[in-house]
Amino acid sequence: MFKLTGEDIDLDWVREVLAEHFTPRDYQEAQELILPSLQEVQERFGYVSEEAVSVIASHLDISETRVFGVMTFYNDFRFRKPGAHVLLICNGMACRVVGSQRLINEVIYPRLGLGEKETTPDGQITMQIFPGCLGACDQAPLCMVDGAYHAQMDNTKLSALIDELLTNDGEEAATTTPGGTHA
Amino acid sequence: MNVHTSSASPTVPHLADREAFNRYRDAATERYQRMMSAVERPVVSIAMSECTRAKGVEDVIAAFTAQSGARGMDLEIRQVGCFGNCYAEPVVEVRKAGWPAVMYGYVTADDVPAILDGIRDDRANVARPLGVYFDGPADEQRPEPFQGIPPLKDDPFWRLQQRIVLGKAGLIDPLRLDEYVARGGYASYAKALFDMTEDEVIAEMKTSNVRGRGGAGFQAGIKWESARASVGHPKYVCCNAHEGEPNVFKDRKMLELDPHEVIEGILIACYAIGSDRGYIYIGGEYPLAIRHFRHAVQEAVEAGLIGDNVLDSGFTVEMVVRVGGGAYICGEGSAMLYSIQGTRGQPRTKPPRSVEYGLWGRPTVVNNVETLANAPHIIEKGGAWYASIGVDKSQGTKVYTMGGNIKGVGMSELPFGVTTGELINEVHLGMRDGFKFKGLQTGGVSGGVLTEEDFDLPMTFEGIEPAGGLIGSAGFVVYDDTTSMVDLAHYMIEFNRNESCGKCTPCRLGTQALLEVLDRFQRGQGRVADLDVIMETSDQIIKLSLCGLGQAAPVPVQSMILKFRHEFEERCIDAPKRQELPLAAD
Ligand SMILES: Cc1cc2nc3c(=O)[nH]c(=O)nc-3n(C[C@H](O)[C@H](O)[C@H](O)COP(=O)(O)O)c2cc1C
Ligand code: SF4
Ligand code: FES
Ligand code: FES
Repeated sequence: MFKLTGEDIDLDWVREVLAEHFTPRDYQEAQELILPSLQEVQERFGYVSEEAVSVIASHLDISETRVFGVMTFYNDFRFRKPGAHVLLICNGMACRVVGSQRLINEVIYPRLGLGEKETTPDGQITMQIFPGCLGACDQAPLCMVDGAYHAQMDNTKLSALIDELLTNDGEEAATTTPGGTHA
Repeated sequence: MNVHTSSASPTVPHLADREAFNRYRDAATERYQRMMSAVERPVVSIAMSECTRAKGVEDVIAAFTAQSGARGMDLEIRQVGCFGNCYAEPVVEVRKAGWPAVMYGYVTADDVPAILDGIRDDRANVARPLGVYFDGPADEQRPEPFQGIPPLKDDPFWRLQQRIVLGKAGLIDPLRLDEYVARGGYASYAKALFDMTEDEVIAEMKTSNVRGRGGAGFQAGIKWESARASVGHPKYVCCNAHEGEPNVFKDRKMLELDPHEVIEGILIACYAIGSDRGYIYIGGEYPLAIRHFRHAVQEAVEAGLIGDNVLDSGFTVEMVVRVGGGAYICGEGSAMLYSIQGTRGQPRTKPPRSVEYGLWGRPTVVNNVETLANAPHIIEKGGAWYASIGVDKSQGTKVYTMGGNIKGVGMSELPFGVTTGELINEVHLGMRDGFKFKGLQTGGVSGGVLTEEDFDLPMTFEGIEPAGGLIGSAGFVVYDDTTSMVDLAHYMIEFNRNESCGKCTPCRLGTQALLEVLDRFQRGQGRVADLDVIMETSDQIIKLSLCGLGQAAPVPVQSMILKFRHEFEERCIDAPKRQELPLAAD
């Protein structure tokens, strides 16, 4: 199993938010709240730790295995703290037909040497290839950094963007899962 | 990056009964019409959505705000949902008393001074005007050219469009309930609650023959009727807004630019089947859509349109928003319901269908966003009116999104029956200069490829089927002749392999098997006999898979091999015409 460390996740905050916004009326609702609770934690901290899973499970009175089982099924969840920036490369078909795969092969892999959802050793960039569509195909190929679009990428622009991200100390926390209810 | 449609929405009053609703509507209409007529001050409406953000609309808004202030101009600067003409974004619409509304395209911050001076000096033909219209693309009036700016009605992008569900696109601020109500919003809901029985609502839906817009094309009226007839309580309506399929973005745009319309559709469905809880399941990748929808729900709750005893009609309903976790399969109806229930989203065998045994084992209607967004219009104007639009067994309009190497990338709404050629070459403006059309990928990644030979086929559920096309979720991509079919086939199978939920073997292992064969083709090491292997394996996967993912996964590949067999043969080591082709991506 993964070794998850959660020093950065403030469990008291998690407990408070759960008590305030995610307290189920009954067991049926408790089950419905598994995903939203996980999303809330990831929204806030960028990932979900083992400890946070325990807190959620005991709050909803549902087994930890069930919560883990749900979490591992869904692609959006991260088990590790992401880097200061999350770089999404759109590899939807519209981006693909205008060269997103080339960007991945020629810039992303050689420069970052990262696999899907991996983070650079200095903790600056987490890379994710997005197979769907980021919703702005006319700007293809497209990247998204911490929720902001970077349009019509080419090798030079992407390389420059990476340079910038590697040196920028990332003031904005990288959270790209918009699941939280009261953000 | 945090600027978004944030015009301060006015506080929403609680509407105790139908009278209060009518009064609210009258006041909202008066304010809206007054504002739009620009009698007090010129109105600058700026289209705001994910795609306009990608193009720097925030700079444009900032420029309008700062420079109009600096010039001492009194302007109403508002943010509206977008018009769907992504290719021309950022789009700005200007209204001034005495002018027809003028739409400007490709606006940058540098254009702002010219447009502002134009408003001041009565010169509309500045920057890059796209056209003039009176009150929205749905308007039948055909304005004359204004100061040399042509009427929008004659613009190829707009000419064939008939906007019903997108009727308010670009004309209202999606974060303002009063603007939605001013354009007739929630009147159908009130009409259903007070003037119609549940059965009458269902009868209208059946007469309209509106078919599911999420892929399968099942008649919504019949689905509602079955759910109403099913025993079991409570009942649920689940709006499917997951939309995880590549190439598809219509649902998310509809939530972004007119969220109340979808809410109204869900509420009407709840009333019709006797449900007191509506759900919506939105794909997690679309922050703006989620934000707008949540905001709209909040407004509807405050207004008392969602809640106990709505408008004193005796009808009680609540709305639950759930966000997806990034698994494409959760768009499949039964998988979506499992996901809402807090389990892994894996489809199950049917029957029983969801209308009998759906969410928590209760009768449940699962409908696509666009299907539900049609409901208010059908209730307003009648099923017969709706059924008069379209051809054959496909009634009404369809929203398409078009991407790829085409000039008119964006979203259009067309009556069924427009031909494939018209869709590509007129509405979406044809290929980009220097690119030659090769194929049209239909139905997201679930349909086949259409080629130039198919340009006369009507776009209907059945019309493009003979050529292997699929309306499906209506996300289409056009690609040019530099695109390699082998590469594309590989990409689509890889997507499906990754997204297969793994429940049934033909899909889980079959897509992997196909991918391994296609890997060889990609490296130029295929064998001619492999093509038969692909075709046969595909047949098996299609026949034996449990859900639509497996049943559709090999369809594009089969279609590509049928129509572009030579490209695959060129990648075979034993083919006479073998050729070392570069990968399309190189
Ligand atoms: C793999 C897969 C993904 C699907 N994704 C969606 C989706 O994102 N949105 C949607 O409305 N329907 C989707 N569907 C179709 C649904 O199963 C269902 O038919 C539809 O939501 C019913 O609504 P409608 O009758 O209004 O079309 C998908 C089906 C499959 C097999
Ligand atoms: S066809 Fe594929 S996605 Fe559908 S149930 Fe089977 S394994 Fe899952
Ligand atoms: S496919 Fe990349 S933005 Fe649509
Ligand atoms: S501009 Fe709105 S859909 Fe692209």
